[in-house]
Amino acid sequence: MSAPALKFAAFHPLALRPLAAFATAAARQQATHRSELLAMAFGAFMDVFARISIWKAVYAGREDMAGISLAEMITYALVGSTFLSSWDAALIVREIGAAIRSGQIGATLMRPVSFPGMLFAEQLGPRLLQFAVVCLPVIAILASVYGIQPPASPGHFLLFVAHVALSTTLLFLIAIFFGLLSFWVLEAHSLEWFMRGLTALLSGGLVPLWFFPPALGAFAHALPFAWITYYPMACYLGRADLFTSTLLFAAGVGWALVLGACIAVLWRLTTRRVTVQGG
Amino acid sequence: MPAASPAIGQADLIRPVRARDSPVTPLSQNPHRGDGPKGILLMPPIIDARTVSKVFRQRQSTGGFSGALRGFFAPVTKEVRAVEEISFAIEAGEAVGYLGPNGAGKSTMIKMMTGILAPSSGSLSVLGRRPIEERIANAREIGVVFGQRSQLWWDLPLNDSFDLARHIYRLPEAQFKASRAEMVAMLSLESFIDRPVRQLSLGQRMRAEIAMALLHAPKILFLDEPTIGLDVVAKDVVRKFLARINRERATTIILTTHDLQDIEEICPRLIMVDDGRLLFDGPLPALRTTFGARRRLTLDFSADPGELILDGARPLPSEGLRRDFEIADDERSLIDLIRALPAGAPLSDARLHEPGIEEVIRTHYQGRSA
Repeated sequence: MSAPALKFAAFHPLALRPLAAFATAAARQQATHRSELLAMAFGAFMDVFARISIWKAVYAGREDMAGISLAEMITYALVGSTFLSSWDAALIVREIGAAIRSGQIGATLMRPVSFPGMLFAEQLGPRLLQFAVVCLPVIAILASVYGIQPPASPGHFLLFVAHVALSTTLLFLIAIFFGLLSFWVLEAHSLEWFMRGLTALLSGGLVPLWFFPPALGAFAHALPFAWITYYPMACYLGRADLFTSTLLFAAGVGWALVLGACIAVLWRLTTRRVTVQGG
Repeated sequence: MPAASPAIGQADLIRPVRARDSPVTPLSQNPHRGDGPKGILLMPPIIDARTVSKVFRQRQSTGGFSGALRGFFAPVTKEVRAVEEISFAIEAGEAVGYLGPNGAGKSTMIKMMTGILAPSSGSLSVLGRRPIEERIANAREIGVVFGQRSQLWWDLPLNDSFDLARHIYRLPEAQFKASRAEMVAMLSLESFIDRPVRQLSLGQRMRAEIAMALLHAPKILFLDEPTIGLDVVAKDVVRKFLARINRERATTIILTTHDLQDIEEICPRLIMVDDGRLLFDGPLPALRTTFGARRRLTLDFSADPGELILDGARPLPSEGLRRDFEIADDERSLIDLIRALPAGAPLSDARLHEPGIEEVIRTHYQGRSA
């Protein structure tokens, strides 16, 4: 097969089959670690509980701040720090770094599958499993105690579901981008913390962008991180009308395409000067 | 040496006899070499390496805190030549042992042939492709086993890993099932195919790795130290299986190893490298002649025979009632040698030792560092 034909094949729907198989295998592997999943659920429970407690203390009986009510902030904490959390993704950077240092990356590259695609699939499988067995139960339990706001409208809800997919995609793309950088610096730890810090702050995962100082806020609103937690939650809560929300969603898709292209270029560069470790 | 041509095209189908740059390659003794008489159309080699080199840059560090500071602001790098101008051609169906001490550049060569490292210079073609340019297409037609790395999913039953291979290589269900059944039978995987990989013994895991690498019926199987850490029985199983796969499926095998027995039992052809350079490329028995290894004669006597002079045999330092000689003439038989003994010598036993390749190679490597 000639090179151009192959490049086409990489985008052929059939190329998704191996990736789906990877996602399934990774999810099955994750499911064998029941205690890890339980620990994750407990951690997520404590995390959301702490956030809700903090927001309750911050509001201290006030009805709203900057036009955001406490009920909205509780919903933001419930949904934002489960389905749209940025914490786990930085682990990809660690995993890629470890695979490079140990040389295991060499064995991974023996498979006839696109490396970034394989990484994405391997993360997506466990993530979907976690949605079902970690996120949903935590939301259900805490919502029964503190209450949760329903989505602003059926339209907003549908758009929100699309946002969750986009958020997951962006998070992985950012993580894979940082992960590929570790081929060049051979020290994934700093990259991992750099990414973790950036996403925690700029995604609105810790504090919604509404509460940011204007200059930083304007900056953060434009970066792709904002589509990880902030824009999806703004859509859920109906902060903008459906038309504006759709436009914002489209802008996020644009960011995903840009990041995808960056990864493709970075990966091409990387394959040319990669040093695969280990004898 | 012809100029390295990066493009593999029609011109390569007609290949004249090429002089190799290796000083010790006994070209004429290699029955596997595909180079035919000038002008005759031949199958192109399945792997064609021409003056392939790989240079790494390694950071040099000087000691102490100041050295650390200097290393940070102005790193000094040193070139490490892992593979230096290596050329060889491997035909479909061959089994080739790639031998060399640690750090000789074996794994680097394997990584270049499997498309995960780019050669610094020279041209390398595997199945008519440049592996680094077309890693995925190349990966579809080769199988790779790394002795110290795994393709298997640690926490899942072995069968799940096999099932994943079906999707990765897009094998039709019927072909996959037939291939898996064959592997399970030949490598006796039946008893542990449903067990999680982490519970397998090293010998079981290695058999599973080899099966995994062969499920898609690759044209070439690369093995990097496949018997490392295995016990004698497990080594034997792996060797017999690989020899059989090479014979029955005509799968080309390239195997790196420290263990010469791997090569003796699987590979008729040996490529030996050291310090990045090609030392030898040819059939195993030719290695001995190339490196000038001699047979050794050991004679045991029931009484002290005194000073013995044996025609065509150089006496070696000996003790007691035993006498050792080095035999220069490869044609002389043990009977010839005994006949040449003085009449009435109180001989009780006589043995002629063929030099093992291990000995040949050890002699060579020791001589090199001297």
